[in-house]
Amino acid sequence: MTTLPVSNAPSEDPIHRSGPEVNQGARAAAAALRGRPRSAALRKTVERVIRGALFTCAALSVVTTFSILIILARETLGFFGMSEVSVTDFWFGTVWAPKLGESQHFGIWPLVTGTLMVSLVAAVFALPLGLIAAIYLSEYAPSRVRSTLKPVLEILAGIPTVVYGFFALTVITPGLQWFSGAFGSFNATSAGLAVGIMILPIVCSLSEDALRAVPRSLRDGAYALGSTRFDVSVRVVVPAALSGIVAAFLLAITRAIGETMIVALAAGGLAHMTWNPANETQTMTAYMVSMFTGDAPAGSVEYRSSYAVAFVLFILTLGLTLAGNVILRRFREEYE
Amino acid sequence: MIDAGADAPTALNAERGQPASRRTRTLLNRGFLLLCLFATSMAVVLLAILLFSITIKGLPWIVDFSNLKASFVDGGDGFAGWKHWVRWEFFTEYTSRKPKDAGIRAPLWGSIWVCAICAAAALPIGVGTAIYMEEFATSNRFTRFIQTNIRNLAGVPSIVYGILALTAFARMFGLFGTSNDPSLFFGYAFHNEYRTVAGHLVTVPVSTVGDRVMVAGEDGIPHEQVVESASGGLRNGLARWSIWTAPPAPPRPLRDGDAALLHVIEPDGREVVTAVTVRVLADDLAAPSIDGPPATVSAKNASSPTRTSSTSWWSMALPFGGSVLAGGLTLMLVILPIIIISSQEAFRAVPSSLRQASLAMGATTWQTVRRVTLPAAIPMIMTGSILAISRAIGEAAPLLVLGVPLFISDTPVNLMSEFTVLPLQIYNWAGRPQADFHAIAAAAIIVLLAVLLTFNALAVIIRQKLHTPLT
Amino acid sequence: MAIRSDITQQHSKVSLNTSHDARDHSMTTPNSTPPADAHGHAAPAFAVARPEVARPAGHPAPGEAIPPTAITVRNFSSWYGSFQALHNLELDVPFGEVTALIGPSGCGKSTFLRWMNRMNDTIVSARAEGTLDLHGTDLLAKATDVVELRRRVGMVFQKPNPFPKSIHDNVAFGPRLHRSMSSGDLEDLVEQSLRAAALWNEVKDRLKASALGLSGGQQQRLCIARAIAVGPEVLLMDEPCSALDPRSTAAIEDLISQLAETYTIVIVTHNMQQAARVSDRTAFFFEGRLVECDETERIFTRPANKQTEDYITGRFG
Repeated sequence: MTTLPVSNAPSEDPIHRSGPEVNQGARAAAAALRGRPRSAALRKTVERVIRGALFTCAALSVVTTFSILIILARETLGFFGMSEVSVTDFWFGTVWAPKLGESQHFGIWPLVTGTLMVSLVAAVFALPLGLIAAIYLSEYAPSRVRSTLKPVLEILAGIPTVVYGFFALTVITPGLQWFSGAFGSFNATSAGLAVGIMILPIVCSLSEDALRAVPRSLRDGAYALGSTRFDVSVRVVVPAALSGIVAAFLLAITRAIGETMIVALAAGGLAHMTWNPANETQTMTAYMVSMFTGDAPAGSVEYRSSYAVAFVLFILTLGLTLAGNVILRRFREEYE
Repeated sequence: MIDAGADAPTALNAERGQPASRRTRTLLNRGFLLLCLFATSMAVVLLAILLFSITIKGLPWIVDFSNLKASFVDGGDGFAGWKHWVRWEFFTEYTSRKPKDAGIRAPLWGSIWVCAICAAAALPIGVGTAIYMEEFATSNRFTRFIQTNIRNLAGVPSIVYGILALTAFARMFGLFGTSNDPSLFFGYAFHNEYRTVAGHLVTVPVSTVGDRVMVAGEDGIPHEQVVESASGGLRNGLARWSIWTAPPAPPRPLRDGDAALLHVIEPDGREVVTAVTVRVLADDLAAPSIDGPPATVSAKNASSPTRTSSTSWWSMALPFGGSVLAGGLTLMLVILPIIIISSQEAFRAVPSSLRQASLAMGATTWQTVRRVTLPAAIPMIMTGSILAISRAIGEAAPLLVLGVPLFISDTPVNLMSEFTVLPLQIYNWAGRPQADFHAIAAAAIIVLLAVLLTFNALAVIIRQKLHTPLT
Repeated sequence: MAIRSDITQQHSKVSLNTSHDARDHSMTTPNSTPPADAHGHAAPAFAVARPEVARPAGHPAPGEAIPPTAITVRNFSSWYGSFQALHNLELDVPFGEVTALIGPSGCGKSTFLRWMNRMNDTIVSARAEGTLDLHGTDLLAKATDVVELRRRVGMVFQKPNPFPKSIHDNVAFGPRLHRSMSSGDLEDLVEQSLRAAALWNEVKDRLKASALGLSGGQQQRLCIARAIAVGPEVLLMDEPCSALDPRSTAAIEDLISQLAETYTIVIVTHNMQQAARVSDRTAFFFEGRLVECDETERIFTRPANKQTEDYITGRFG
């Protein structure tokens, strides 16, 4: 400690003439602080500029939301203002016939039922399956099984939806037709099942997160009362994680409702009121695809109708996402 | 309400009824485990069926089985002979009416362009937002609103983003004319193109005020000059880059004194371009001559002009229309919430003790971000971003809304090029009734899944290799 | 460099003749607080009374000089939201000495420490009133450059928190932020700082190795070296040994005694033996109030206050 080289400092520096009890190292460190201090003004300017730029980035997300809202609302109002359209017919009508020349009808319900039917098939398939798989992964599976299953789910989650659409068209539909002649070459069941496969990993991983967030002490308490693993999983952990699971379900159903490519390929293009899942049907998203890829001139009533449909879809999914996120946040607060 | 003594018999009385049989409970436990195994294996089986059915259909269009047999069974050079048993035409050909001749050249390059643009736009904005939200923003009502908003954007169907992009990018709210007739150009150089009787190509640039142009000087050496007036296009100038605020004027005949470029094909096939001044000959010579090159070209009876433009890779016209730029920005909208949320999680995973240490040393917030939290968060950000970008590669719905043409026979050359992407091509082929088109759709899916699996693997590797402990 | 040596010169124990002036100046700074409150007659009198109190016998020679004040605290209160964490503190932190803050958990000593370099700014609901003065700089003023303040007032945390970088880059972190130095100067500064933190001999052969590979005690000394490297005037230590084993603790305590010759040190500790071992002065906090502050020896042998006595004899806390 006393044999430090202090050659860098001038010898008449009072710091270095201090008594033997003084820590030379600390003094030398203080003396070694050479060079020019950086400009505080520059530092402050840089900080301010960067803060502004980053804030702009964050504000862009708000701009995005409002742009969507304004664009959809503007075109929807324009659509409602057209002579061919009646607002009551749109909200309560059961005939969606945008292209029939003289007898155009814009009742949203056929599209809504089509969307709900596909989502319902997907939910019936994916929600129980995803939840049970999540319970297995969280409560039962040995870590080796987990480490194989998680990548499988990740791959399923990463497969593009157009691939699921192709799968529905070329594998699920022929399979259903082999099973029963009632299924057409386009039908809601096939599309619904494919959407179900698509949302399965979402249901599973979000539910698993919810299950894993349940504190260990709760399980220990149940085991200490002599419960079997089934009792603990189904009677203790699942009820405790219920709001998280409900949120997972809501977010998954939102994805199902907004799914486009699968229904555009496999569900068909006929908008009519039906609750028979073996029938061809058209969802809101599929209608939008048919309009935007079709030859309807921009500004025409059928072209604008797709904006009105988009508006309904946006509000519907926004509401569901909002509800899901609120439940999820409440649920997280419970255990943190 | 009752004294303590009364509770004891009540508790004992609770032992009423049949005790649940041990066997029943064990069976229930076992049965549920079986159900679990069934549900979980369902996911694996579905993935297997999906991959299998697609491979069976699509592989023959990627792999030439007769040559594969020659390579592996009949004593060829096995994997080393991949050049022979891969059906290269599937990758190098454009789409076609005949499935046999169809390939994925255009969608492959389109996907690469769109993905690159999407990543270049989404990464800075997404990570920037995450930095602001996690490191700069104080928790107030506005910040919470942005946070809720980001989470909700993640749930918006991608087709809705397509509608936003159609209005905001492809048409730009109608501020700059229509997408077929854009009114603002960056990095475009317009030319009037003439062909002389002798077959030489002469191009006369069309420029506007403020352009920097190359001019052929008295000495014949080109030099740069800024255009000061624009009466009927530029005289004495060759545009290098230009910003147009109005559509260029219609083509006009060649005039005396025009500054032009003379393109001469040498005998060895090289094209030599020289800056020249045009002199339109008064008398009716049979063939135009080149007087004293490189300063002057004499032209007579040149062909009627056509309008051409030269561009760089970054050239832009407003509005963007159905260009790769618009496509990339559209997908940016789709994946932005995903990148933001995963980056935010990455920043939250950085222990706050590091942040405190840096601030306590007198670092500003940004210095702390740049030197401490961002380097620590980068592996997780990269993992999340790669997964987000792979989502973009597979996304098709918003691009359908954008009005991407279905038949493209060109690879993109600049930001304004038309394009298609793999998922759109797959959608197009899968939507046709012929089985052969379904098969090439399956082949394209194999390529798409191979790309995505590579991306996934990359993300996993980064997650494992770069994820160093932070405390 | 120039500024730094000026301050050292002015306040160092070597130049005794200036120290009284410096203290008087800081005590009577007109703009610090209104005169009525400035000397805190209504508040506990220990801090102000200190100069009059006779020094305990046997205190070494430097004790004869009354050290100048580095940090002056007058009528200082702090809140988290509506909860008042600190009540009307009156305290002088003398220059070039070790001041220990002791007291039971939640008594506000860490909160007080974190006000001295405004680390509490990172907590939205935290606010403070009163005077907190470092050599005439009002630490609470809105205009105070927090970044510059934190350069002058370094901090060592409870748990060692080296950056996930190399040992060298950890120490060079601060200097790189604040100064443009030649790489030779930087290397020299890194070496001197590590020597000052008594770590050089252990790490000189692996400066490029990750700091996370060091032991807990070494990591904490690295954090001290890192804090020293920016050339602070005051070092704040928030229970710097609470996460360390006894041997590392001893090493850090030795280091603190050595550093006290050059830096003013304020240390928060749970461990009363530690306070007794390393500090020159001790301040006892209880429920957000400063109960007593005096020479460490006096606090531990003849405390003036009953609560202090109860605490140090282990009757509560």
